[in-house]
Amino acid sequence: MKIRRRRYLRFCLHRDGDPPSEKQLTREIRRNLLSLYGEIAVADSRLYLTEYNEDSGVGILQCNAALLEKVITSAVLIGSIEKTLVSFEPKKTSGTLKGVRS
Amino acid sequence: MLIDLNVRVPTLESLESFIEMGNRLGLTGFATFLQRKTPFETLDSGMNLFARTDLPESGLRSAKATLKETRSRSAIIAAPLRGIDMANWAAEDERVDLLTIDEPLKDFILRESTAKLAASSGTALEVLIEPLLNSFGLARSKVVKVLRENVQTAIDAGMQVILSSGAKVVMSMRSATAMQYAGLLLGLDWHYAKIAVHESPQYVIDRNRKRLSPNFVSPGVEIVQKGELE
Repeated sequence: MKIRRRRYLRFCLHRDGDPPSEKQLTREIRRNLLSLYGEIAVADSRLYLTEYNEDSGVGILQCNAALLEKVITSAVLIGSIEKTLVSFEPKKTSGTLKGVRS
Repeated sequence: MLIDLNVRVPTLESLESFIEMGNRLGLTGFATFLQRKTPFETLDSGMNLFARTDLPESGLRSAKATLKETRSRSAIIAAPLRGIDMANWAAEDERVDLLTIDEPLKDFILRESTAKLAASSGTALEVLIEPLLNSFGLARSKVVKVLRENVQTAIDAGMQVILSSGAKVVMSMRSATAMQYAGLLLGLDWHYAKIAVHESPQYVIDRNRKRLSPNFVSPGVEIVQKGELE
């Protein structure tokens, strides 16, 4: 079985309005990924939110290492989630959870 | 220093929220259309504000008049990349810092000859991220097409590309890293995107700070010491 390398990203979601839920944020990133890079990219992305604090907007997402750039680009271009204007700020990437938290 | 050369603060009242967001995103300064006392201003919070003027699209004559009137009062002068005459004049004139691609995007075509003129005079192509945030699907694909084509023409001609947010609302501002990732979508490689976000805006500001200083005479000539003739 082929081992797929994972990559973690620590981010901060700045917002103007009600905080988007974890589900809403993941859905919006996938929607943008689908729009920009297509179904194969979404299928291969293996994108999940590992941690997410709705109040502070700080979170960690994990995805396939090969698609990290595309996932971040898709997230950065999210202008709003539901009716809340947002600004996605990538903070740090790492191959381990420990690394991304430090 | 991390500088965003195009933040469209709508009113003086909303300036504070843009400054706060800029601080949160790690910016050290941004250029705005709001009238300020000086072209270069450092606030108590440490944020730098730069006065920016966009030349009118209405015609070459009014653009030239506006340039003459505002150059000494503006840290940044930008011209729209619209129409051959306007684009070629702005690309050649060293007083114009940026050729901007703004909405609506369909008329914006950077010609190779214009890009070469701009490269020789040090005028950069400014690409705004905001149109990418406000569109989706097919509409966004058209925006991406125009931006990617123009960016490629600029790079091939040796013209510098600068990425700016073009934010009209606070939440359209992006951090430097976020802008770099947006640059990847526009066909820049990671290293070039870093230069387009981190170094080129700083270079333009430094160049104009020097040009607007009272000791500046012409490029390469400045007064270093004043003395009396015997």
